[in-house]
Amino acid sequence: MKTLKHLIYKEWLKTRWFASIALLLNLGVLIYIFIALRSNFLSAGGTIYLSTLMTYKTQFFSLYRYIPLGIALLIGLSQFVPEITDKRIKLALHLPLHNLQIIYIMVVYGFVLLFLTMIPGILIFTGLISVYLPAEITIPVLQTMSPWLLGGFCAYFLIATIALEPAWKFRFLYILISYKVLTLFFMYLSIGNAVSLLPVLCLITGLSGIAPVYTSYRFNKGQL
Amino acid sequence: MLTKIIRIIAVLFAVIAAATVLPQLYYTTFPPEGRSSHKNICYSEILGDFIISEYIYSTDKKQATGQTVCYDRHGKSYSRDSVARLLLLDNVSQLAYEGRFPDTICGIAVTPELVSSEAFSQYHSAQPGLYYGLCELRDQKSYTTRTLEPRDLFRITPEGIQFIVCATNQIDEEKSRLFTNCLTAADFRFPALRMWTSPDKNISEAIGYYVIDSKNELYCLSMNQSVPAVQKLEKPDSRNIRNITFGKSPDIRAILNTENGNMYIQHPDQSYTRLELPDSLRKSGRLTGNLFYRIFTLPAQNQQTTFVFDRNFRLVDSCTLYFQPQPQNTAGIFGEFLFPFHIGQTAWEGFYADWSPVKRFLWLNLALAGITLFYKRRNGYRLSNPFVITDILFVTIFGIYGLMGISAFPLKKSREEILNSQSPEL
Repeated sequence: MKTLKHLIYKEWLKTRWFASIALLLNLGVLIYIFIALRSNFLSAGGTIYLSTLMTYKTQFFSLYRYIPLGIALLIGLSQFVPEITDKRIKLALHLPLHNLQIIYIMVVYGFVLLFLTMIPGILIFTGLISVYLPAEITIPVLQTMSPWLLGGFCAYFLIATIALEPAWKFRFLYILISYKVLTLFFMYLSIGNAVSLLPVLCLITGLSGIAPVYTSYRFNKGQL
Repeated sequence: MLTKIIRIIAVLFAVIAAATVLPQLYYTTFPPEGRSSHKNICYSEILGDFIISEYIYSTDKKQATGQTVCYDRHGKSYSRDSVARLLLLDNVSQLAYEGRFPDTICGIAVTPELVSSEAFSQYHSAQPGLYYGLCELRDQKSYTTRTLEPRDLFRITPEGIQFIVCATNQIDEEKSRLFTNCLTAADFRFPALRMWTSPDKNISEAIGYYVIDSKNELYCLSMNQSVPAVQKLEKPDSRNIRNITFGKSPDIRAILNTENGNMYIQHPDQSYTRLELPDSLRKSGRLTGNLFYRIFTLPAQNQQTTFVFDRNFRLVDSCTLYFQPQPQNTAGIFGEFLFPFHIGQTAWEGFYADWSPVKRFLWLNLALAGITLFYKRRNGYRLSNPFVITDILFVTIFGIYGLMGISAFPLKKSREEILNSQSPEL
């Protein structure tokens, strides 16, 4: 238990400032999107604005598209780059815990931090837009944003996988594969069109969540 | 064991990524040399037959020039000038400009204005589009006064219809109650499964919405001077309705698709005529009309079929036009040898895997599997190891993609394999 606390504290020291920036970025962008929505709603009139939204399926929240990816990069890189510099992670792997446990304490910590950074903003955003938009629009908006949020989680897991890979040639290959996998999460779809894609994206995110086991094993064994 | 299972998943990810990127890169670098010919088909009211026009490209590879040739189904050629005289309704503007437009066609007195006013074209999708369940109900008299302009949107919930005032996002209880009572009186069973209206504002105002209730019955819901107007409509057959498109011509109120693929025309008097089309399930087409005919075009893979109906929607003639697949060049054939399949994505098909002919890619796949087998054996892997067998199987099925996947995520040797490879003499 004490080791667990120490590990989490170590992770917190590395990520706290980056997580704070990510939290502010997330909230800032979402509040800006809401202010723009409110302004357009009031200036155009509710009927015309909602009618236009439904007819043209306008993505008034498209500014948010790459924010989860940016947050994942901030947290993932701040967490894993210090570990792979001079292979410092080897010190952590000598703690009296199973290596898989240590790696997953780090990965789950990052996942929870990512969740806490993104989800409160989304909840506040949902509450705010619900004042102006009926559920028939709010729900498709959230459905459209879901692939981007899942993309953020998937990107974080892939960053962990790439960071723990000991050989640069493989790291480069994994970056290429990750790029192609992540493009699936950021396709340009109209509002509410992503519903049928969500189970596939959830599966990919779940599978990417166990990918760090493979590279961390190689890292620990020093396989090049 | 867990690491090896994760490795297999990672290899499959790599296969998908390679099957998306590599063919795209290859076919961008080596584009097809040939150009596909462009064909068009029209129905001549003079001949009572189809005329096909085809743009044939020059065989000179350096120049993208060509010429249009016109012929009928029996191969008889026509000059462009004679085609203009045989397709009078399609060339009305040009003929009127040249002063060659006749006074009568097939014994009927015509003017360019009459012919133009009878022409229309519209698209009918067999698949319903994205549906929010929130709609705008315009009053039939909304053009008379601004007080009848809509200020709300409606939804049909299990409890009844709800009008939401856009400015406040609150439900207009009184109006909702009025419409709910009217729908209930017409035996409407809440909630609505689906609603359709015309994208044309005037038609949308006049007809309102076609609504399917929870019992799959069809209703027409509209509003006249703020008073609800609800009418239960007959369905074209006993099957459930799949999609509805409203007509652009005065003699077509709506086009309906049923679940078994039948397509019906609903006339202004709400009677139906079944179109003699093949199973139109999941097929979308274009309906065009002129003074004499209603023409339905159903596209398919490398072909399109044109059905000509008279004004009473009785089938007159049909013709299938075949488009030659993209001409194959050396790079295209080599690509089919190299890539077993490619993965793509389109808005209408979603993700798809397009496989090359097996007899083409099989040989390279087997050769690569042989090389993998040789490599594994030479490097001391035990060939009875199920993960080694999986690797070879991946290369046999996925070819070059499989080889890239297993190279990107190398298989760790077992302790026994390491010992054997370090001491071959033992």
